[in-house]
Amino acid sequence: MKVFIAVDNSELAEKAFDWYYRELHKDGNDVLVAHSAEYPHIGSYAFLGGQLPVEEIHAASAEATRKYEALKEKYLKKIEDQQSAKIFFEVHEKPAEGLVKMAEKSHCDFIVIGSRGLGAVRRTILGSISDYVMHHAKVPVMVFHK
Amino acid sequence: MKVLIAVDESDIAEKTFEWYLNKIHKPDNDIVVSHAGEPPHLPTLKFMSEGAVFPSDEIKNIMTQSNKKLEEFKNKYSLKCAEKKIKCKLMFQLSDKSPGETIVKIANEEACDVIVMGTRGLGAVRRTILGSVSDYVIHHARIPVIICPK
Repeated sequence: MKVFIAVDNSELAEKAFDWYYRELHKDGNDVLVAHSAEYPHIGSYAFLGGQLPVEEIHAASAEATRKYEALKEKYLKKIEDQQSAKIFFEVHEKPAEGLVKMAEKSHCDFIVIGSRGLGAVRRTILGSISDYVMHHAKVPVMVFHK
Repeated sequence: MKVLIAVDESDIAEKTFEWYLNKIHKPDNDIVVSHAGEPPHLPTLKFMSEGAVFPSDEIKNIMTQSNKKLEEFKNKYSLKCAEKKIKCKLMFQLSDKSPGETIVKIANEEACDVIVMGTRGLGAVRRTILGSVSDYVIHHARIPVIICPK
């Protein structure tokens, strides 16, 4: 079975990943550790004044790249001892849609995702990305929250 | 690990059950299969030419039928487990409580580690992609929930 584990920088994503390996993983399962990165945001205020905010753009881009590489490193380390696990990182304009596209592209059989990530709106129990993935995935989805 | 599989009479529930057994199940997993059906509608008064009558016979028939259906449904899953030589605890009941509440309640009482269920069941509102029961469970369960689509 091909398993698609969606991760971000959150602790919950890591917990979901660990829980999957501890409780659900079977020999013979292929695992994809997936991340759908967003383009860095540059506040629109930076564009006031008529000039292109070159410095801001460079800074935001560098920061986003740094985070992306750090996340990749983190999970590369975690899957070091697993023979059939691979990293699958892409950049998409909308992370939720990106994840669903990536999941379909990979022909996975099962998706694992944390209920919430790093999103700002902490009132909601279910994050917007897991909510979207759950509604649009064509394969079983495990929503992890603890 | 203790797994709660919530089923109703829909095809999705059956497929979900099979999928779990074929793809996810591990020999030392304990399984609880639950069903929280709606109790039948019982007539209260019957108006006949002699006046209002309490339709006790009709009620008795309806209840007998309903219990029989529940028993048959329970046996269906009992057989599925026996075929695969898997031990499972069957908790099939009719309840006035919403199915979502019952599922979460059973998960707590049985100390389950994960819930497996279909996205939708036999519900009437077909416009929605995610049924109201699975929606409720995802929002109220404190353990991981696996949702299986059609």
